[in-house]
Amino acid sequence: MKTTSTKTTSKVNTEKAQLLKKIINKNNNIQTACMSLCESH
Amino acid sequence: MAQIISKIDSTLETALDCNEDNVIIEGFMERYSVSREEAEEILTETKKWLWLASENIKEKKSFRMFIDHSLIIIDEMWHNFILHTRAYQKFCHEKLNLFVHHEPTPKAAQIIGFDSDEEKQKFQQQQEEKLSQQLSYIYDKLGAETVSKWYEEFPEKFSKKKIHALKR
Repeated sequence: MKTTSTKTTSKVNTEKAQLLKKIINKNNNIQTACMSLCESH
Repeated sequence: MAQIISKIDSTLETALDCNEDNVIIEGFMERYSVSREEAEEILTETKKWLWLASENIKEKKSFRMFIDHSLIIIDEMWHNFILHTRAYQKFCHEKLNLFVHHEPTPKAAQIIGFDSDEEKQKFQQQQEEKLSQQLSYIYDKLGAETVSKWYEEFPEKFSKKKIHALKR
């Protein structure tokens, strides 16, 4: 069970890393258009 | 862990359940030539973005959520939402427990040219790190589907040029 859980986490981490890398490689000219600024009330 | 996820889901669900949707959607459709389904989807994604921005502050993260060219359509809906001041204030106070201000990047802060390749490389590296941090946060809180929608589907469907053409 522990091994399955570790494998699942590892698979998710790999999928996450691959997706992020793909997007970052496509965004070679990142310019910030605006930011969020929050205040509590 | 299950408790944390269920808590996150319930606060997000509450944020997405908004009585004022109709007026915001119709306002957007008056300004942009999009179908009702498209306007509804963009508003849902904008509310998700605002919820995430408020979570980012509540969790005292070291970085601030930002909008770049991939998310321009969310920014456009955010502008439209802000025009309905009462609805926007109500949404922030009742659904997020925070007022999320919109802070445009001043023209002076937008870098157009670089003095050297080294300076350009350094800037791009910093921007990549910022984006990576934000993507990771979105992935962890909202999942792969949202990351893909915001950074793959939306930039294709609603590029700056296409948004300009959709303006009424």
